[in-house]
Amino acid sequence: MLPPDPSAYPSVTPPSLLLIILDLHPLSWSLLATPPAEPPGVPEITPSGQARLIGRALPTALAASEFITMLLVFLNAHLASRWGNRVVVYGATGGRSTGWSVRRMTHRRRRKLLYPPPANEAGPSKPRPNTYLPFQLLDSRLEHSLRQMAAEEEERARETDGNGLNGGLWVGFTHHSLINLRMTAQHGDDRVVDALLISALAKALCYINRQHPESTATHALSSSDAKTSGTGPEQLETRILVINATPGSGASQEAGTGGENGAGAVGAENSDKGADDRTDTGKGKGKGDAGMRGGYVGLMNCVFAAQKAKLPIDVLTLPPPGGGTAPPIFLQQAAHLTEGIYWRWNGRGGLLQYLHAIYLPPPSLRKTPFAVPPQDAVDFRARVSEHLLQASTILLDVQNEIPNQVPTHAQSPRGEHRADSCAEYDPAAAGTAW
Amino acid sequence: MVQPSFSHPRKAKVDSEGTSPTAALDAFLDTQHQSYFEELYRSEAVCLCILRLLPPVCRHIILHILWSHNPLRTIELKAFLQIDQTERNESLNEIVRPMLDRKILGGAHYQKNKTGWPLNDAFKRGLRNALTGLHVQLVRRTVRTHPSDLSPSVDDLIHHGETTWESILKYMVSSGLAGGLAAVRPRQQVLQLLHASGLMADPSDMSGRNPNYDRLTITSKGFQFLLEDRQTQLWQILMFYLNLREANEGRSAEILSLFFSLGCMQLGQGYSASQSFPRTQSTLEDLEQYGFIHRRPRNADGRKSDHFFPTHLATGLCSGDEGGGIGTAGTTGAGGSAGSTVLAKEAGEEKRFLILETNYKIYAYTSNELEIAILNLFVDIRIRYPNLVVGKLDRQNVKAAMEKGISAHQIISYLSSHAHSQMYNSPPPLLHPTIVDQLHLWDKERNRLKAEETVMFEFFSKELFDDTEAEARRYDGVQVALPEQKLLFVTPSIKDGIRDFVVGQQRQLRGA
Repeated sequence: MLPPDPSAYPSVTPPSLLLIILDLHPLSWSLLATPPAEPPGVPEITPSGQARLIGRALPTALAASEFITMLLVFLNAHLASRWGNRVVVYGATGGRSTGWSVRRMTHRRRRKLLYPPPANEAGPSKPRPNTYLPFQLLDSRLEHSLRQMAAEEEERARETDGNGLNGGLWVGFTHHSLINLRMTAQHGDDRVVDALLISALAKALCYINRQHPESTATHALSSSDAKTSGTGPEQLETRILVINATPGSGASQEAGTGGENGAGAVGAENSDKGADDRTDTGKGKGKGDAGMRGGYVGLMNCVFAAQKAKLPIDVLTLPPPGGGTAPPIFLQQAAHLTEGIYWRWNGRGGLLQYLHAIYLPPPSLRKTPFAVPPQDAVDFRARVSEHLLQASTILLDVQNEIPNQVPTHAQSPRGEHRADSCAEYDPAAAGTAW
Repeated sequence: MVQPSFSHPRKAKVDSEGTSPTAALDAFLDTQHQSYFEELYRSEAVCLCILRLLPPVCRHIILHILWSHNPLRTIELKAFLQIDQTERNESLNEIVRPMLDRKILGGAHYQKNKTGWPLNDAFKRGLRNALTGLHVQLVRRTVRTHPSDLSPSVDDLIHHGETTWESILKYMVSSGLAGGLAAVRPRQQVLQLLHASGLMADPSDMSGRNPNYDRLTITSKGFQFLLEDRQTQLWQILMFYLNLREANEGRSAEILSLFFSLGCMQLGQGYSASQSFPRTQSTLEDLEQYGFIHRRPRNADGRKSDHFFPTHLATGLCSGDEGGGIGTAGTTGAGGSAGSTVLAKEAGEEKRFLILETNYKIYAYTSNELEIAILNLFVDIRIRYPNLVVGKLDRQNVKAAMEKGISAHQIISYLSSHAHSQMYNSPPPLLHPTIVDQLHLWDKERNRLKAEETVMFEFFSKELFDDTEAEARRYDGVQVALPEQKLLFVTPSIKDGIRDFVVGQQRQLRGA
């Protein structure tokens, strides 16, 4: 390790735009809100006493309302940490149970810009991030949009599927007023959610791109200005944080247990779909494969666009490991390729601390000086070979990456190379472990 | 051909970092004690603003430990900052120094072989409340009881703030120029502050105690003040005001927290004075005279309206090093940054009006009296059109400005921060090196003589002179040595040592 050199730390950071993509799939959240019946797996035995302490911490359920509250505090902290910092939130919710294809559901919006509100709704005074009011604006506006989204969701569920209201989710949103909100859990479409996350991601990239004409107008100005007057970098730095609540494709058992709180039919259908999923991963010949494939190519397009724009895509995966859930491989790859941070919650509380410790420092402060969690060894194989023929040009790029990337990961900052090492890095534990 | 360049980029950077807009505030806070901060941190707005005034690394360290019950441990910090655990703690002290200075972290304490800094409780509570929105009584917006057509629009507020503030600056400039600019005389309190801060002085009153406020003229400090960017000016004035009030009453913490609260307010919103600041109403009235807030004219019953509207001067106060203040220098990013409204962007464009050619000609696309008056300080203005002023930088005028106390650096930074966007189209550097160097040379011309304190030794023997000179050189304290006259000039700091050495040498010689 290098000796610290405080003078080398940046004295000015550019303003930063944090773009959140929030997975709001009702079923996933109802799974998360269900307290685990049995501790998911035996905690790994590690030499460190602190890690064992964390291992003993009880697995906690996570209600959507709780998480939203934490997220709001996190976003406020982001706004607080610099003038000119901005937040954009996209929501991606569940799709229709009847169709897999992304194309077929374009007539309805499933991903939605939650914050900031469109300009015509913003009222006479535009929100300014350097004031205190933006916190309130953010809180109330996000709450409002979430409710609206949930209401739309419910209505849609009634329209499409008479008996679709089988998984009820009680959500109280903010600390100001606790409201009960019914979100309907649609079943059997977590692959569509994947696709929806991807379409939200594409939207997010478009949003960022739309910020550019503004900055390119002043680009010549600011870049030369930075050189001459030395006022430091003023270009907006952008990052995307994907908050994923949906377990990876090996989620059959999890979905099955989640069925307990819904109707029995849900469980049955879920396991059906789970089986379907397994065939997908195995051979890539399942009938529902079309949506997935489209999603994968779409995701990779997004990833390469982000990579080119030097946008890190951070991923926070909420469903804890264990119980047969696989990590969402796509998102893991996305984070890896864009040099973002992938991290999976261990399901044992402390999320607020994790959010602050891992995701708060802007890219310009990451690695130097702040530590980032060691990234997993990323699993490229299954998907790459599976879709090689369909998207050969793009995917060849990925394959080219593999020989370069994997060895560097073997020498990740902590010198660890584990299949599932993210659980080891514990900033919440950090309170004690460091 | 290698040119000697005074405008070395690295040096310029150091300069610009050295003068942050809140330098006056920082200097003030650095001298305060624990109890003062305890009082300050009662307000959530202060916690938020102080957090943002820290270096970015410190901000994230604070946010990292904000939700933890434990103090900030050194091992934890080392892991977070990727510093080797065996590294000594001194380097960490350097990193956390800003937080210690602001009393956000308490003194290091040791417990079970673990070193840590506890987070100030008041600060922790304040910041947590600010982030979660709990128990916040930071800013109370007034209920809109009055018809909305009476409340001023954002444009009105900006206009009000600009004109009020500029009228004060104009008055300062006009006092320094013989005629030329008609300016409204500011109120008595404003003049008192300008006098007390040393920006203006009465030349006929040498003692400085009984000034005639009608005959104040601008001082060299005042000229320097004029060339600063807007944000710096505002904070300087506020700090002068604070010092003045502190000298009279000693309740500055409340006033300072009022400044921060104003900085957290929303442009275009009305606030209730009696509810927001029940104990510092008089300060609010004073700030009105500088254009920080706007109050509607008196009500029918003759009392001042309780509602006030902060102007952009106030709401931009805490927007840090860029963006908020309209006059902020050299921050093109202000336009691109999120928070700045369209208005601030336009104002930023308005501010860039200067084209400087390599033949020292200056074209200023402005009709702003104040800007022209400031330009007139160091530019020989030749032609004036309704929206354009043409002039020339020449030796005579620039040196006249330097006589008034304006330095070459200030002129250069003024020119570069007001440079027209067309100027950015040419390859950097922004200002041509010829002009920058010439300005420095003109500055140097004035400083051919330098006065320094010295101690002179006169010797009779050449031997002793040589020995002593060698000794003084070892201490690096020789200023001038004249071997012919056997005179040695050394810095006063090593006087005693040299004298002892000489005495010792003499004794040796005599003994020998």
